[in-house]
Amino acid sequence: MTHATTWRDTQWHVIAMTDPSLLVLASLANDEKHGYAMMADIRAFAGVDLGPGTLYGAITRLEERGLIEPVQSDDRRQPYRITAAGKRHLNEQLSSLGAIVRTGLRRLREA
Amino acid sequence: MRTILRAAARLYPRAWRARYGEEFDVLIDHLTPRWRDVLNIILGALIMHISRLAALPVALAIGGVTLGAAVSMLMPPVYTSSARVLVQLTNGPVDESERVLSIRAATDAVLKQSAIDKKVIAATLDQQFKRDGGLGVTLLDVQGSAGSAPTAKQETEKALGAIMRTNLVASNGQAQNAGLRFTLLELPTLPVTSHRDSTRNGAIGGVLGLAVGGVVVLLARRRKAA
Repeated sequence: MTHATTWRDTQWHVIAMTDPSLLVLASLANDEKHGYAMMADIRAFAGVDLGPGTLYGAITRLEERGLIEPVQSDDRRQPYRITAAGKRHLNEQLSSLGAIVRTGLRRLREA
Repeated sequence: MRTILRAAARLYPRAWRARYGEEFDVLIDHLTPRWRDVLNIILGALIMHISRLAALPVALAIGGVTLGAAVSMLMPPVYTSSARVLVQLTNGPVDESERVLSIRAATDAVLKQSAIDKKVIAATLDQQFKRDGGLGVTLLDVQGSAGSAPTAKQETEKALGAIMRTNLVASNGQAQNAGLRFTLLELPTLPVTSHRDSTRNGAIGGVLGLAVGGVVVLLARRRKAA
């Protein structure tokens, strides 16, 4: 199956190449999730298979920086949600990546 | 396989396990076990150890390297002049390997006898032995270093003179012991470029930084344990 490279496809691939932390933030952008749900979600929207060590490395860094926080839960699976600072950070990073992707695609079309 | 995954998860730092250990184990229980996950967890644990324990030593080491390199840049430049001498064995053992050992020992003795100041002059034997009509020969690189190009050249000439005088003495009195003939192949050069010991000083700074950081971390851990 072939499909044209869209702006969104390319952007997720750029994110995947840069930092698992951004993938985790993007996964939590609309809803709280626990680790396994994040892995499944990231695999679905970005096509990236994060290992458990990589995922929890990113969760640790993001929590230390106050970009995500644990949600009180009775479940043994600990859910996390994005904080206001995390949303701002994600927005800034995606805007920056978006500019790179748009410029790259435009130049490829012009070439 | 799941047991291996759980065992790998035990490799994380204790403090990290206290905070994330239970939920990490739950995640592992939900995974379809794969070997790549074992490697991923081991790598994750290693990175976590480095980031938590070694942050201070690594930061100090980087600071030490930077400081060492910066200090080097502030120090005056060093010029190095060089000359090359062909050293031949005029008599001695017939066997090639014995001749090689003999020429090394004899040349070392001459260098020692010529009392070269090691701080200023570096005279090294070329490791690459060559054959010359069945005689063991070697090349002696003589280097003089100083704060200016002319002085560096003078230092090299002084070192060469010391070696040659030793050879003359050896010819008159101890010739049979030394058994060496020196031929000047390359005259002392007048260096056009200078160098600073940034690499050496940077390395020293890095090692010191790492050591200080390590001691601080150890002391902090002992204090915390007490």
